[in-house]
Amino acid sequence: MLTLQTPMNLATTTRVRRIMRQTLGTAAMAVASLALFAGEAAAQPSTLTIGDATSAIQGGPLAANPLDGSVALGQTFRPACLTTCFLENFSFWLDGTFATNPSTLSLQAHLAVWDGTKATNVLYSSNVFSGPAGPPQQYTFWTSLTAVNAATQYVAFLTVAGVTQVPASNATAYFQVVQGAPAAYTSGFFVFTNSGSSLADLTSTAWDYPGDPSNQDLQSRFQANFVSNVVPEPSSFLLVAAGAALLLTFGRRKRA
Amino acid sequence: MVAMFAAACSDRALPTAVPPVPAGPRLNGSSATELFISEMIEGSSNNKAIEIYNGTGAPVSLSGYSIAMYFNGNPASTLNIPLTSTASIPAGGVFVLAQGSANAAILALANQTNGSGWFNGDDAIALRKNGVNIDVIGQIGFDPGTEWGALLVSTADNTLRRQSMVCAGDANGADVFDPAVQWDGFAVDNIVNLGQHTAACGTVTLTPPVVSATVPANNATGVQAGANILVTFSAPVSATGSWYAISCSVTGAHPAIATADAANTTFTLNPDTDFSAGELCSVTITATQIALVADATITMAADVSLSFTIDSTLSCVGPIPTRIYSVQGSGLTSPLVGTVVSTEGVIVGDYEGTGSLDGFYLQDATGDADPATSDGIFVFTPGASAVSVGQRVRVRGTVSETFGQTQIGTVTSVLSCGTASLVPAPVDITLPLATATTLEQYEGMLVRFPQRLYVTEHFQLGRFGEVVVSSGARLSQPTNVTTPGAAAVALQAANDRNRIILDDAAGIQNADPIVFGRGGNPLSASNTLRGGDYAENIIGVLGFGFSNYRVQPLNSLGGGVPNFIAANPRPTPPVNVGGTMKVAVLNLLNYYNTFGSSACRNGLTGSTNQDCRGADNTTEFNRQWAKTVAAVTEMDADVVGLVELENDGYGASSAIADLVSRLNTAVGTGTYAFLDVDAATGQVDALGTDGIKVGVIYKPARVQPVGATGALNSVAFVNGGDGSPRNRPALAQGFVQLSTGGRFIAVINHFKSKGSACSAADAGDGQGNCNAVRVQAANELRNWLASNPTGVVDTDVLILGDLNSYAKEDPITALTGAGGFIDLVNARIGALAYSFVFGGQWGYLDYALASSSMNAQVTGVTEWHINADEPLALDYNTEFKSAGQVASLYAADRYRVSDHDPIVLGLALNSAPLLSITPPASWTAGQPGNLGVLFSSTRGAPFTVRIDWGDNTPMTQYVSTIAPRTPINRPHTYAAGSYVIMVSVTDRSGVTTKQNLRITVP
Repeated sequence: MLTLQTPMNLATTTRVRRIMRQTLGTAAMAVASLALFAGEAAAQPSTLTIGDATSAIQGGPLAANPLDGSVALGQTFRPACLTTCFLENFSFWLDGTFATNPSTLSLQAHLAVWDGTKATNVLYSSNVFSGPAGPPQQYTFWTSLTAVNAATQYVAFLTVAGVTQVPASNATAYFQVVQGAPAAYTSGFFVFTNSGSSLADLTSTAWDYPGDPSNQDLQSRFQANFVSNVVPEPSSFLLVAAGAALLLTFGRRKRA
Repeated sequence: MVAMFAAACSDRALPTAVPPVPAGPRLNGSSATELFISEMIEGSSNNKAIEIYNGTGAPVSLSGYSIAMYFNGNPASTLNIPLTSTASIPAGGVFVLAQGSANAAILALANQTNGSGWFNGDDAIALRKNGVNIDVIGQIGFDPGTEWGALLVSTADNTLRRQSMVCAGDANGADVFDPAVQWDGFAVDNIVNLGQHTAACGTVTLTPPVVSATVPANNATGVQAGANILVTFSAPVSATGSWYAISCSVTGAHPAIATADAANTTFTLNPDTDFSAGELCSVTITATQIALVADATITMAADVSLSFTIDSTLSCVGPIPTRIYSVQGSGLTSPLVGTVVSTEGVIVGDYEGTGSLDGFYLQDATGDADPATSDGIFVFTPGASAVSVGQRVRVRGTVSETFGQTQIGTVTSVLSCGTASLVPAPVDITLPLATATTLEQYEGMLVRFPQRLYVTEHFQLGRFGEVVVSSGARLSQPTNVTTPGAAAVALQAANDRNRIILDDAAGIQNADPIVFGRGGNPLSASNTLRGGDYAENIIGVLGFGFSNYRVQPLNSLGGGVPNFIAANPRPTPPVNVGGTMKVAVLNLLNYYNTFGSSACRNGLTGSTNQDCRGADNTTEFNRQWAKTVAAVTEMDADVVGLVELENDGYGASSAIADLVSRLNTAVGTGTYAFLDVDAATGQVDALGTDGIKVGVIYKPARVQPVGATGALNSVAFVNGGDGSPRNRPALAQGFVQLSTGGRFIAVINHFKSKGSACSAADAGDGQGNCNAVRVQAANELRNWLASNPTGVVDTDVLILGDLNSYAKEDPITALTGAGGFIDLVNARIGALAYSFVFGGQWGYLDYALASSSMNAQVTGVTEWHINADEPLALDYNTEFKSAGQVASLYAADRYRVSDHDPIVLGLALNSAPLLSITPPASWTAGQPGNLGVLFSSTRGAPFTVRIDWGDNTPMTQYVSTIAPRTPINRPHTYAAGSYVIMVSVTDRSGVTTKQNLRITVP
């Protein structure tokens, strides 16, 4: 299943974690494969990239206020397509260089619509995973080809639970942000909130920091991959079911 | 009848008929038994002499005799002159004692002289023998004022000669003295008979009476129409029946009321009606009706007639001899200066008396309709009180130009002609005037200002009763509103034509009450008169004096004290300036707690024996500090820049410590603290060695000084290019607001004033003296601030204080132009801002100049108009005030604390993040050590932290979404050496705090 990651324009990340494999059910994987196959001629992949390893600085700590609450951090963005397309996956870079007890942190990635002050309408949530250790790594989250609209602003974010004190004793970790370099991203910001304890909170209460381009102009180091509109018609579904394995192999080979 | 200015009496002898045939001898008592005074000369200057007559029939030795003088009603003699004891007077002879400085003619007749100060007409004189008065002139122990007696027969400025029938002295010095009883009077300095005396002691020959004098004298001219006639006879007479006849060429016969004096020698004839101008009058005394009192059978030998001419110009009837407008002429001075004129007019302003102008204004009732010639004139009548407003009056006197005003002086006659039936209407004058000399054509006339006129100056209100008003608004200092040079000069000229002085017509200073207050009521601490208050339709007489035209509204026809309207209300505590803290700056007008003309010194090291410039004594100081404390506590600022503090260090008895102590007494211990600049800078007299200095006080519970204390005391700044110190050193101090961590830098200044000259002359461009010195100061200040003298990493700078420059002047431009500072007063208040008035022109010398970043954090600016608008008379000083005014003009409140208005600013400081760095206990080369960084900000996350390790390794950066509770550690490994670690934290709003740490790694 390694092949599922390789088509993407993954940058110079040292290692790719495959947590998304656990989140993709068989049916979802089939859909993704069908999309690749069916759109072979028309699919136009596009990528949104904010920051790079050179410009990255540590962000965080991934910590909570009040104590043992949850923190959410992420990036708002607009899809990199003309009208509608599918978000194939998105990535953050998590930094364990100065992490404390990262294994006790419970992280989860989400995709939601952003209304300017908070997340609404959560479209995707990853499995829960523990915090990072060691040098910065790219964490990519496959979203089952979530349909997105270029006219809508979205937020991709991590929720962090299990933080009990900042920064010393229990758990801290960082993820990477960038500041206006190498080129400022103008369609979204680094956002966070320190006070949400649940997704319900995060979608009902304005976040602590909805971004501010006039002062520090902070962005998350972020990447998102999109493909154009290749959702199959319902009449093609049988074909999808029958040839799933073959098609996956074919697709990989084609791109290799 | 009004006859204020009688012409001098004539003592010329009247022509008489053939000398009468003496009647037979009459017994007149016994011969003299003792010496007596036979003549007394009380002449001009020291022409004084006493003649003593020996009528005893035998020589008398003068041993034991003396002349005593009793001065000014003194009951004891002040001067006693023993007569030459070895001398004697032969029978029938005299002895003359003369004042040593008498004229040569008197001295030539003197037997003895004496050089002491001698008697005047009101001093009693006695001839003494062995200490006992044997003959007294005057009444001992009584001062008649000027003289005993009247006219020629008086003790002042006359010669008195003992009547020949007197044969004994008047030994009773205590009784009422009338010289006419025993003495004949002669004109001043008459010494015709000095050195000889004839007495008819034993027997006397009664001679027929003669007319010895008259007023008017025979052939007199210019006699007043209302004059009485005085006839003096040579001896007491009884006048009976139709003893006189008065007949005039125009008015015919005049019956009169005749009265005699006590001696029955002088008779006054008061005619039934006034004489007519220019007519010839004659008086005939019928001889047979005038008989001696001593012997009614002896009558005057022949009729006596005299004639005189009535002054042709002074009559209430007939044409006016010289019209007032002809006296004034059309030029700046009268064409008739030096000429005696008679004229007529209506009293339009009555200012008689020494407490006023000692005269009155007279205006032609109709005028000549020539706008170039004034119809009014001032008549100078010192000491008189003869007329009242609205009367028609004729006057005779001499035209002069006195202190620049045309007047009639040396007045010989004032003739009231009753209430005027036709009075002049006031002439309307509007400001601004067409030319600087426009008012000359109205000098002396009743005028009205139909406009609303605004109080633009009241500096002289208390002492001299003057208020200056202008039209449209108060006058602006030209360089406050326009550029120096031609534009300012032109505006000055326009201002000069748009002002007029209102005067209280008082001839004295420090008048009580001060009539010009609000609502027509006198000035007091509670009834002020503020700049910008106004009055309308002011009526008064236009005079000229003390180099200025001035309107006298009081006691003028239809005028009175103007009703000043309180258009500029007194401020209550300063308006809300917003923000989270306040900064104020105030020129204290010399806050000195040391008093005396030479009790002060300039700083701790400067000149000694200096004049203490503020309060003169404890009484004044108690009044001063009470006002200062009221104002400062009401401003309630967290940082207060002070200007004009006594320069006496920072000890417990220093002026700044005194002020802070009094403030804390008022509002609570520890509320205020002062900055000890000497201690902070490690210098002595860091703020210079002038008599005064700047300073700063603050509320330590709300702000604290941060960084280094800067004192700009370089020669280049202080001297400003001159040869000696001019500008007071500037003070720069950073402050942190404790509640937010926000910081700013306050810079307190006091540039050289315009009050005295510097090396470079006044350029005449409106900027006054010492502009170059102030420009250099501004440039030096700007450059100094650019060097960050406080070391506080903050661009928020406030230049505060008295820059002694108006808004458009070069020093301000040097700071706002190249300096980039923003004049907050101009930016937030505008062109009508003012903090000071000088010469009736308003502008501001007191500044708050903000750097660009500071400006963005200023929430409000106000000039608190508690001082400049208020009259000087309301300040703490007690001089130039009556005892009542010392109390009534003072209140221990915020008004007239100083001559400058304070500025109050509101600030909402960018609350810079708080940052602290915790290094490891020690660094070890080659081993990592943890640097802890703790930060917070009221504006919250995200925080961006940067650590520059100072050893050319990559910077450590991280962005925190929270303010940590304990330091966030980052390890670093150094080689041995010294390094400067620079840490910065930037908060959500982009405000950065930086901190440096110098370390040595062994």
